[in-house]
Amino acid sequence: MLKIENLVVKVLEKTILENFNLEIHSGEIHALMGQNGAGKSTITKVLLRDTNYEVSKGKLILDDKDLLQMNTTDVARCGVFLISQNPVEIKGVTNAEMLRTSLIDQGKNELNILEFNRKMISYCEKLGIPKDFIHRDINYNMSGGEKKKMELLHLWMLEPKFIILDEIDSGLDVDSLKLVANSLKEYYELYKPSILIITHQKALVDILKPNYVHILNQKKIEVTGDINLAEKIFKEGFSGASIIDKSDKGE
Amino acid sequence: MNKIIVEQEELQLQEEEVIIDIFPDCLNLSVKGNVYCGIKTFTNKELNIHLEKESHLTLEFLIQVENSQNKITIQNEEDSGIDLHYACSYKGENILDIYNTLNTSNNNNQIFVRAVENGGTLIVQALGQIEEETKNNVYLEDIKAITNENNRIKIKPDLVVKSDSIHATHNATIAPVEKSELFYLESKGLTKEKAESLIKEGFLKGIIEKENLKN
Repeated sequence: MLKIENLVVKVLEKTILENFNLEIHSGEIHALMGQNGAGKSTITKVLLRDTNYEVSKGKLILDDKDLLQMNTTDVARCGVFLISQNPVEIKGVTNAEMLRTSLIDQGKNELNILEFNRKMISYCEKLGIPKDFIHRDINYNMSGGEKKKMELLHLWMLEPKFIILDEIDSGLDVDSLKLVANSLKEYYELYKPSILIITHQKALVDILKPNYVHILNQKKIEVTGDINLAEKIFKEGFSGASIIDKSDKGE
Repeated sequence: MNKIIVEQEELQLQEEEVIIDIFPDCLNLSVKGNVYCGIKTFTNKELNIHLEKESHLTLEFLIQVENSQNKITIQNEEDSGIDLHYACSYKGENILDIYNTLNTSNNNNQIFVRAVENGGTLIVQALGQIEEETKNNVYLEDIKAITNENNRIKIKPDLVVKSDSIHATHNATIAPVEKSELFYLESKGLTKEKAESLIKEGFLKGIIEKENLKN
């Protein structure tokens, strides 16, 4: 379970989040929505312990472990996995090289090199990714859609238990969005991870069907509801949705 | 790809792809036609390259240097060109000099240097000189280095253009490992040390075309 309690986050002395509270139980899917600039991506970076984001107050607990005492590597090794809006390009480092190094370093290297390659190829086929992308540089010279599919390949290979999707839908056409959402659904049904989705897209919400939907406003979660809240936002925008009664969840 | 051990001070390459291992301190390399040449060791050497008319050389270095002083000189006959990719990690005190005087026309010379510190200093001096009465030459110098706070690198790009028919560019960048790349790899479970090492290695290999040289 992830528990965020009274979190205050600053970037260059500017407060981005204040009294931010959220609980995500094992196997739950939560959607975090909000207007541009509300601080949605900030919480994803804080969870992964990006040192550009200073936590000046509050608690960040995952399965009884204090994430604030950890660095990014340790958090990732607790099973937290982030797919960001614009995954970085790293020239000269291939996807296979990175994944194999990660698995070996984490002691998850049960597969020999042939089985590792076979597994990667099977996921490539599932995700509609050309096989040679495995040996291409990470996200280098790839389209927005290809980058997101490669991130999904990483997800399937690393098998995380807490997934953060920061606008995974950006840069995806309709078909790619469905493929990505269905792949995530398949992963969820197989491994039952917790998922935090940040999105503006109805299609992703329709397929993943979050248990809870939160609206981030004024530096904290202002409203929490179920999937109907997301439906209302898609119809009426954030100003319309904010009149919904607050529930106890996440407040 | 063929491997050649070079024991003499003269070598001619013609329409071939080779990896060479240079024994003498100085090598005069003559190039005819389209040639690829890879180099894996290069310490305290002087390499003088002569590009014959209508020839093209792709010359790639993927090397580690320690207390080394290397010098590369390039000479072009008309309608020739070179893609020079010099990727090195350095230790101790090192100097790299690259000299290219263009006194003929219609040449295309592109020089890329990538350097990663492994504890030490490096001075890169790159002089490109384009003489009067030459035409339609292209000359590019692109030098980038990843360094740590405690180490020193000095890049001295020097471009002297006497012709008004030239497209000449030079870039020099010195920076630590990109933080966003580091964060990305750490967020996939790699330690900071391993992530840094992969990024540095990738930075060097990023300019190398041939897999044979990378492996």
